[in-house]
Amino acid sequence: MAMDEKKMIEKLDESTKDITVPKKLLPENIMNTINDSKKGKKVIHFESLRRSGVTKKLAGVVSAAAVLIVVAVAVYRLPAGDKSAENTMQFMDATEAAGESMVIAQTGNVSSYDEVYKEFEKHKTPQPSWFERIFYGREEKYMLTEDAVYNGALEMETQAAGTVAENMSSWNEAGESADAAAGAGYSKTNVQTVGIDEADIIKTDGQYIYYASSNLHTVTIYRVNGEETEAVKNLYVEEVGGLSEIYVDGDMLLAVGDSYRNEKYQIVLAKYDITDRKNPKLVGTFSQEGNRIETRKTGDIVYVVTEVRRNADNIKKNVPETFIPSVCDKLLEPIDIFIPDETQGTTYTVISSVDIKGDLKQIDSAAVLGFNGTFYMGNESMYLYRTRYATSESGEFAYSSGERFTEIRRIDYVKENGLIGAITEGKVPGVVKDTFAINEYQGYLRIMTTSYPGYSNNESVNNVFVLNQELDIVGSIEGLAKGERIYSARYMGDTAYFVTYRETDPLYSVDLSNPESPKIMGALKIPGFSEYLHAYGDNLLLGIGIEQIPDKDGWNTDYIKLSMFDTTNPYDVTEKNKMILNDANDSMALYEYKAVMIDPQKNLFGFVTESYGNRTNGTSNKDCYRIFTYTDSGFVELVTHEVEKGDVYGTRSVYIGDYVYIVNENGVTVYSIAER
Amino acid sequence: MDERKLVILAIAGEEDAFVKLYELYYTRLYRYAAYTLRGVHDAEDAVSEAVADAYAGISRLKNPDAFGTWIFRILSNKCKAKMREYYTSSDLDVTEVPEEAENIDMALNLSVKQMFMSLPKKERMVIGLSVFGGYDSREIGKILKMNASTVRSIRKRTLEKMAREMND
Repeated sequence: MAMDEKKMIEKLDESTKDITVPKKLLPENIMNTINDSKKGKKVIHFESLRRSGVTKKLAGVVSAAAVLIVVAVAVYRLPAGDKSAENTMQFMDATEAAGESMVIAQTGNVSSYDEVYKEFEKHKTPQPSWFERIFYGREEKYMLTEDAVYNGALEMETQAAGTVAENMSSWNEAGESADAAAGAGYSKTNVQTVGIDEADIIKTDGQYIYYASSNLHTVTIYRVNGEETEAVKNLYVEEVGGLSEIYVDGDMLLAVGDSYRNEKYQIVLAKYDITDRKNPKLVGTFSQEGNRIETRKTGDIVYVVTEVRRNADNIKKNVPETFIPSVCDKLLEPIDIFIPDETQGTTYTVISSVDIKGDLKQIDSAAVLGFNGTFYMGNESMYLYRTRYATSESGEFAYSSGERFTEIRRIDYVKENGLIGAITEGKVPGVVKDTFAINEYQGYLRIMTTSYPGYSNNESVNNVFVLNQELDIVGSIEGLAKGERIYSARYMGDTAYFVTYRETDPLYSVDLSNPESPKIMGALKIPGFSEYLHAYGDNLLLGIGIEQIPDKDGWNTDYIKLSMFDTTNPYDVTEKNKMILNDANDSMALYEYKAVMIDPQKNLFGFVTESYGNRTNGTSNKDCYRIFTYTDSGFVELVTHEVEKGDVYGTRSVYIGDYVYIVNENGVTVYSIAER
Repeated sequence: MDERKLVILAIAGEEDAFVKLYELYYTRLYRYAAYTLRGVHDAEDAVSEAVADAYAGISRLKNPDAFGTWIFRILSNKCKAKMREYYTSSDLDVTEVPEEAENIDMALNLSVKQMFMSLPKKERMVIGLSVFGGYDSREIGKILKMNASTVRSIRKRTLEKMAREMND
């Protein structure tokens, strides 16, 4: 398209912006509108009846979230072992924001299943009227059909669940460097928090490479020695249902999978003794109801996080199975179930700790009703957070007063023994881009958000908040980079870096050394934007992102861009070097941090890129796995390994010594990186 | 948040994800409908019907990258149907029904907005999808079931015409 056409389109865009979207069509009202719209057609489907329940739920969500001010309430539960609710020690601490009223939320575990049942009852779909009963025939028939519809929906849900869970992880976590792996002589999974391992499709221990293929349900174990690689075992993993990821620790292999068993969606772990790599032995399994959100491993304990959805219309008072989640096919006890005051909906987040030393015994569990969100695990606590819509107190939507905010729940855990403890709630204005933007450090939680005070994307502002143990905001900088939004973030000790984007790529540095008074140190403006930041040694910060370059028609095309920022002086960050990959337009690295193999001490990183082919400069449309190193004069691409189109998402690499192994379902390719 | 992930969650039945996804599109959808239909009430109806259809049908969406073009196509069909109701024209795709406001030469000093409103409907849709959807000719072709080259020539002709009007 010619430039003047483009200009005209921009002009049209500008001059048609002043239109006001009717209330009915605002996001927070849309579920009601959808429901009304169906009713308006005078065709009542079973499906729409079900949906009216859904709508109710959503409406409840909106009004329950009526207060934006930061209120944090901590209710501490005694560690497992004392299973009496009376002994639950509670203390509350709420902070009142100036000039605003305050709602105190109470988070507490329950003393009986009846309490849970009562909570679910609130979410029931109203019973059909006599007219509807006649309309639909006998009530039993209606109930049956309802079940069928719901089950059908559920089935579809889990089909996609594998993909969802896989994808969740990509935007869920904030990473810290794999520097911990340094010295080991081989790469480790790129993780969110140093010291906390994460499951992945590829693992290495320096002698073997383990690759999990969900398509083939197998874990392939390769023995590697320099250029020699040998597949010593194709372990068919059937115990876990759909195999997704693995952990390897010494002579233990832990497979993680998603399955449908005993009429429940479950996450299943299977532990194998791989002392004899050619002959792995199954040691034990663990199962937890729900769709997989995340798993984490610290030492000999694995934490399993799932989301359990229950339909309030299908619960039966005397059958707790219908509304209580189970772990290892055993119902959770009331003490393990938390119903916060601001419960929204009938989805649980269930967290269990599992002892992986033995045969996968459950250590402790906690189920939080009415809260599902993105998971982040720091060294002291676990966090769930999610975006909500603010409303004014009358229940009317009020963009101006509040727009979106992020709700946070902290779940404490004891690293040494796996006990899962207190639950604390808090809120901050704005939306969290991914868990790179949330970080626990020396007792404080730091969060960067983008908020939209004027409900238009053009009026977005960015904020940095520091929260204390009670999740009260103790320090903040608000209103940064108007009109832009956060694309990537990274914390390095007392300093936070974040990249916002509109047209250029300002990299901001923030001084958080005094938690109560964060300060902006500097902003560097360069073209393009980084989607992923990774500390590269002490004074360098690697950015992997996109630079847009207009083609001959004036349309912007995305190219993968590497930036090396020099952070020696956080007050004056510079882009020391950059490299634009002119035959790469997209990369898993932008969405899934575990797809990045990186070890700054080894001075090596790699990821897969996709190419759409380029009409302008005639470059190829080959997808490649690329390995880079960095020198003072810039990035050097050490390896460019072509990957077949279908294998892009399953292709990963590890390095061991001076060799890089690029692995996918088709096998291993070895590259020597010794002569660099 | 990544749109693709929201689409996958929405396909899996997550109402929250669907709402968030809708949030990414609603102003553009509404502006597109409002300028295509030249009426806020009709636009409101068209968008709410389209979104209801999208919500009911999203589980059948195969390609998570195609949500945008998919929902704009649903909305375009709603708009076409509404315009058919008014003009009882049988097929928008092949017939260009002249409209009273089409002769924009008469309208001196019309604002850009008014010029936009006074375009014939097919032109309004093509330009609307360029402006509000940000789509290229290939995508617009898919949405409106037209040839991409036809889209390009309509777009070029219309935009040039508007640019001339503005400079007059």
